[in-house]
Amino acid sequence: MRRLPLRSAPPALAALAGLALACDTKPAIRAGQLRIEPGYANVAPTGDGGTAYFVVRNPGALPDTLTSVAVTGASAAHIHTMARTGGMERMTPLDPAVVPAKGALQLAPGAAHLMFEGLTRPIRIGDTVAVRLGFARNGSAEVRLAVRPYGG
Amino acid sequence: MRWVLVGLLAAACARPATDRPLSPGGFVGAELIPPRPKPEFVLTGTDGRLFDFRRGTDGYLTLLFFGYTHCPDVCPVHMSNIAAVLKRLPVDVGRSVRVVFVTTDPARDTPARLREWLDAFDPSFIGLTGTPKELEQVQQAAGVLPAVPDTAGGPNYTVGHAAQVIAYTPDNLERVMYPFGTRQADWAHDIPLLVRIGARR
Repeated sequence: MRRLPLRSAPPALAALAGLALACDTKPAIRAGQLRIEPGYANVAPTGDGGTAYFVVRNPGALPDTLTSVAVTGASAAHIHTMARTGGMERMTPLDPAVVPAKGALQLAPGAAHLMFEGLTRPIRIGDTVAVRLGFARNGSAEVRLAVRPYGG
Repeated sequence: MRWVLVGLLAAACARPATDRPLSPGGFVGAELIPPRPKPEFVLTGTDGRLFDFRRGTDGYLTLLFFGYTHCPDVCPVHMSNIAAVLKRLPVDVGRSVRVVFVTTDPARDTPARLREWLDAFDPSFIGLTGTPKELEQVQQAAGVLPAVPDTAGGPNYTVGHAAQVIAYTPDNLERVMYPFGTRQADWAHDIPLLVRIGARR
């Protein structure tokens, strides 16, 4: 059996490496002061669109607003929030999508998502989708999200 | 040292199968006490034929969900999680389960589109549709708030709908509800228990 090189590394370093591997942490993307933490994307079973998830953190003292969202290979992209009242799930457009000062805009299943539609080419599980986000104060950045199966 | 590392990793990332509080009956899902009878209704299946819900699911663990195929995450996540768990469970457990998806968007969810969407998860999943009036009555019979299409948004309108999966045990009683956020581990814990309650086969 081949020995893992990990075993010869200093224990603390090995633990850190193990943690990074096991948790699949991805580096955050910067747009000005903002930090965008990539999440993932899902593609609808009917292949006509999908959803994407990420977090935009704003350590700054001023709020910012998402002014443009574009997904490569999709003709439309919108941010929606999900509101639950009395057991009912309801989706409403989030416009403007604000990134609060010393806060975050969090897109997560059941809470909020980026929906993209009108695919110009098929997107499959294992592909990567590129999402370009433009902000009123902090410029723009592109975040790349892995397409994975629904749920977990 | 290796065990310390393993422990660290487990503590940092792993989620044990039963880290959620259990109901009095031992379920992760929200138990209905006392249980309620399974509703009776007839809708149209994806093959165009009438489907009698009570007769077509009699004696099975029945997982009923109201949703729509343009739904961004709640509906596909529920369906995907249930499908993944049924594939992993023993064959006889899977054979004792019927999954029924009733559309709340009959205008866009044609029987063909419903079938295509459900097939992506599991070809055995049953898809049902009907007139808006029939669907409203069915949702009332199942004890969920009827879905409301929000057509103000134009052709890409959204549909508010109940977010929970309702589980009826083989004795035809509504026993447990599964809200959005139910994970595969939760289904894997509960389904083998539910298929045994009042089972006749």
